[in-house]
Amino acid sequence: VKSLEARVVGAVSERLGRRRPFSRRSFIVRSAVVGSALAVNPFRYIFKPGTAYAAACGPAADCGSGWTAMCCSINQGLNTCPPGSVAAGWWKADNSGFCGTGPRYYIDCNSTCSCGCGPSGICAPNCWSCNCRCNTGSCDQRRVCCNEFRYGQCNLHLACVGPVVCRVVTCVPPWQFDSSCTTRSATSNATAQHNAPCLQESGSRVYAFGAAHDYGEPRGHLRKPVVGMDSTASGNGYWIVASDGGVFSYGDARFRGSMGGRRLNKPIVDLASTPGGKGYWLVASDGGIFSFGDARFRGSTGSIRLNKPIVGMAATPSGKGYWLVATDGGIFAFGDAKFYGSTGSIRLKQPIVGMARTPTGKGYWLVAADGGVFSFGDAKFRGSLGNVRLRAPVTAIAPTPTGKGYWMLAQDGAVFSFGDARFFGALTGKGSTSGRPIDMAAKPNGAGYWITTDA
Amino acid sequence: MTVTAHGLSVAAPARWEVRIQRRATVAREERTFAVLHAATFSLPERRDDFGGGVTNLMRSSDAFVTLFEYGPDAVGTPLFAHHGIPRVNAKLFSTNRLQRPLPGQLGCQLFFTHAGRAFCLYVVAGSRASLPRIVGEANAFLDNLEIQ
Repeated sequence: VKSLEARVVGAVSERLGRRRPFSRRSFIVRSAVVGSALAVNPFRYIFKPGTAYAAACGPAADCGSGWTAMCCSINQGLNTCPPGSVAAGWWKADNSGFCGTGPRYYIDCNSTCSCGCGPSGICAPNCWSCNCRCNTGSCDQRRVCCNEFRYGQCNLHLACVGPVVCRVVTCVPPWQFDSSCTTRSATSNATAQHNAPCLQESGSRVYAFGAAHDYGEPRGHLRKPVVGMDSTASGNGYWIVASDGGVFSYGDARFRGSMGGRRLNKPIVDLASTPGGKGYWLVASDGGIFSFGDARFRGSTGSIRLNKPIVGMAATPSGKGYWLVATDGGIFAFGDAKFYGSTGSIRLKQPIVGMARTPTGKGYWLVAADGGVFSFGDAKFRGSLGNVRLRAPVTAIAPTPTGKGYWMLAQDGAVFSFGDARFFGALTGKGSTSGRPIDMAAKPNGAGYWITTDA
Repeated sequence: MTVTAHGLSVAAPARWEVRIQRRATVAREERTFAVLHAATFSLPERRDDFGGGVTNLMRSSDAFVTLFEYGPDAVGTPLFAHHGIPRVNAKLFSTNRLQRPLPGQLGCQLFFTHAGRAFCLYVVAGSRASLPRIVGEANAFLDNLEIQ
């Protein structure tokens, strides 16, 4: 038996679909907005004049309410801290209904500032990087850069920040969403129904560029964030993996098993498929390896005390081995994977965040969060961002099929192409996205790529 | 009356109500520590840590205090560099220094470390007219606070 709300959502969604042709994503967004409006304020939406968007912002959405706007409302749709702000604290609301039965998390992004402060943790207005205003442009007309308040669980190394610029909202615990945040929770159930239209698209998303097609994405709120993706050999599908080991397969990617629902010592950080696409490995931050399908276990660092956590992996062309890379650039080679060098003994400015191998398997690139590229074996250096001031850290690297170029993805959705890598588009300025761009995978023919967001 | 729990102890001044609690956790890695709420009015049972569900009940003459404890990993960080239980003064208060600004209210927030424990002191005043008296009452309350 369907509830009244479920029946109305279905009917309205069906009607929306009949009115005029929408793109798949547009239809989903419109349906989601209606669904959210019903979930947040069903009777207001059904019986009162106005739009779904008016109800989709939840209660106390006007500037006079005293609350701060959602980041996606002011940051080109991105549910992340905008430039000039940092996560400064977080809280949760229990039983909001937006995250299943789990808590909904809110991260305050406070402006950076250029002066000192006392024990208040908030510096004087004359050195903030923003000005107090009311948001416009959607029903989320809450305050921006006004409230001089700090929850205090993120970026504790910063004695002083400015006021709250906006709020990031997620079903993923903040300490997983932003590693600067501690696990000390605060509770504010008064904010449980606060919302914005741009949040309706939340849940990990996949964006396709060039000749890459959109084959789907994990719907709804994941319990854990997406951490990696890989293309199938044909380029007609892809796998996505979440930090709890959940694997999602799309297009011609076949599901071969997952660690979802099983207890892990450490979170999964990456996925690599076998050359034939009939299996894949998952790697955890302690270097633990989980193999599925025709992927064979060739060794792991699960029993070794690592200096730094593992952040990525790459399989050899034969599929009979793989490399693991740690944040200090330490390389661990297994099976027929050969060691060609590492940055393990170099003092890095920023941690290594990903790796990619050459077509021959006789070399690899490592990329750091600042866009620095380190090439080993037959991997040629084609350029880097090491001397470029980035808006957001680099989070992934993907090679071209020739091995003569590569793409880099930054957390603000920017894509940087080097060598024979062609630029097909980026998420910056694209509008509504949810979560942070976290990984990318290139089509095997190099004619396009996908970007996935984490949550 | 003296209220003691979770390593905090305070002799509540006249007309003050004090509650000390530690919330249960939901997520596996989540951690909670002591939270003290004190007010010059009757505290509702359902209270957000920094005054949600509480400050909207305040009259212009009322005061509300939160003492929110952070974990051991906060101790020694720049945000919690100030040592000792702080005292408040009228200059620290502003209409924007609130978790949620409400008409007429003023707030102030101070981070500090005491007895090897990291805290945030958050004080809300019901109105500017009552601020001098509220500052005095809040400081008297802090004089009675012991952190073990």
